[in-house]
Amino acid sequence: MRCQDASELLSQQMDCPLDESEQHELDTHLAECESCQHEAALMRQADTIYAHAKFAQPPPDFANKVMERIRQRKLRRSLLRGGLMICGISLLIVLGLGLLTLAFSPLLRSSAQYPSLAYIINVLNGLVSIFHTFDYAIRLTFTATAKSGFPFIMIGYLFLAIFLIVVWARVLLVPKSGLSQVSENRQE
Amino acid sequence: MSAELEREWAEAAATGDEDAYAKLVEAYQLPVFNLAYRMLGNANEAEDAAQETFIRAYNRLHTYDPERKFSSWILSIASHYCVDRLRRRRGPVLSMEEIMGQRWIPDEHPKPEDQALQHEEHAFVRQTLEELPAPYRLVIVLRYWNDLGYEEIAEITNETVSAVKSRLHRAREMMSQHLRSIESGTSTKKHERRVTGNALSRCF
Ligand SMILES: [Zn+2]
Repeated sequence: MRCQDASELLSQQMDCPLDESEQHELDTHLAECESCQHEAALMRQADTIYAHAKFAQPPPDFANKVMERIRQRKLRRSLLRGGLMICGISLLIVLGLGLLTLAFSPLLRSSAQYPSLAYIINVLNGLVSIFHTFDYAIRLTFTATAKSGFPFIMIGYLFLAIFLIVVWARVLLVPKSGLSQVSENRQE
Repeated sequence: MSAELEREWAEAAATGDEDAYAKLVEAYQLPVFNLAYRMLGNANEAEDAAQETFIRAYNRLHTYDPERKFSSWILSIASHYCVDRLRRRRGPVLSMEEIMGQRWIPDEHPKPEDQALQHEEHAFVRQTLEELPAPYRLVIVLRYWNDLGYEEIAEITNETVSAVKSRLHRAREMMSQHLRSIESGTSTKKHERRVTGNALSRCF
C-alpha cells in the first residue's frame, strides 16, 4: 500500500468504518510506516477538534427578521405589479386614443368601399364617443384616487372603466350614425 | 423534528401561511446560520446570507419535493448561495474595517482551565476553514456540523460521492499540514498533547 492510499483510508475511516480487508491493510501499513503514523495522529487531532466544534448561534430575533424581510418583499412585489398594470393599461388607452384619432382622418371616407375596414372604423368611432362621455368621470376618479395614494382603487376603477367600455362598444355595434349605410351594405 | 410535521409546515407555507414558514425558520436557523458563518467567516455577513437563504427558499417553496428532507433542501440553497457569494468576493477576503468591526460568536462559558484550549481550538477551526477553498470548506462544514454522510453531502453540493470523498480527504490533508506547521511553535505544545490524547482515546 502506498502512503497516499493509506492517507485516503485514514480519511474515510473518520466518516464510516472501513471494511475488514481495508482496515487490515491500513493497520499493516501504519505499523511499519512512521511518516503515516505521524500523519494519522495529526489528522485525528484535527478530526477531534472539528468533531467538538460548536454551532455558531444566530441572533435571537433571527426568525422575526426573516419574516419581516419576506413581508417587505411581498409588498414591494405587489406594488411593482400594480404599477406595471397601471402602465400597461395607460399604454393601451393611449394607443387606443391614437387609433381613434386616426379613425377621424380621410381614411374613413376612402375606406367606405371596403365594408369590413369601415366596420372596424365604425366601432372605433363609437369608442371615441364613449371616451368623450367617460372623459370627465375618468379624470375625476384619477385625481381622487391619486390623492388618496392607494393604487388598488385606481386599478379597480380602471377595470370598471374598461368593462363599461366593452359593454358600450357592444351596444354601439348596432349602427345608427351616418356610417350606418356601410353596415347595411355589409349585411346584404 | 418529525418529517410529517415538517412536510405539513412546508405545504402550508407554500400556500402563503407565514406562521408555518416562521416555524420552519425557527427549526432550521441554527444549521443554516452556522453553515453561512463557517463558510463566510463573519457573523454579519452570515446573518445576511442566512436570511437570504430563507427568503429564497420561501419564494421557491413550490419547487420543494416533500419526499426530500427539508434540511437537505434548505442546506443546499444555503450552500449554493454562500459559494456564489464567496466567488463574487474580490480582492482580500476582509478589509481592515471589517476585521475590526466583526462580531465573534462567543463560546458557551467555558471553564477557566478550558478557556485557553478552547480558544486555540476555535482559532484552529477558523484558520483551517479560511485556508480551505470554498468547495472543500463546504464539505467539511456539512460533514462535521451537520453530521451528514457522503451521499447526502453529494446531493446537497451537486457532486459525485467520490468527489465528496476526495474533497474531505484533501481538506483533512490540508488540516494536518496546518497542524504540522504550528507544531514547530512551542506555545501550542501543551494543547496539542492534550487534543492528541483525546483523539487517541476516541479511536482506540
Ligand atoms: Zn506510509
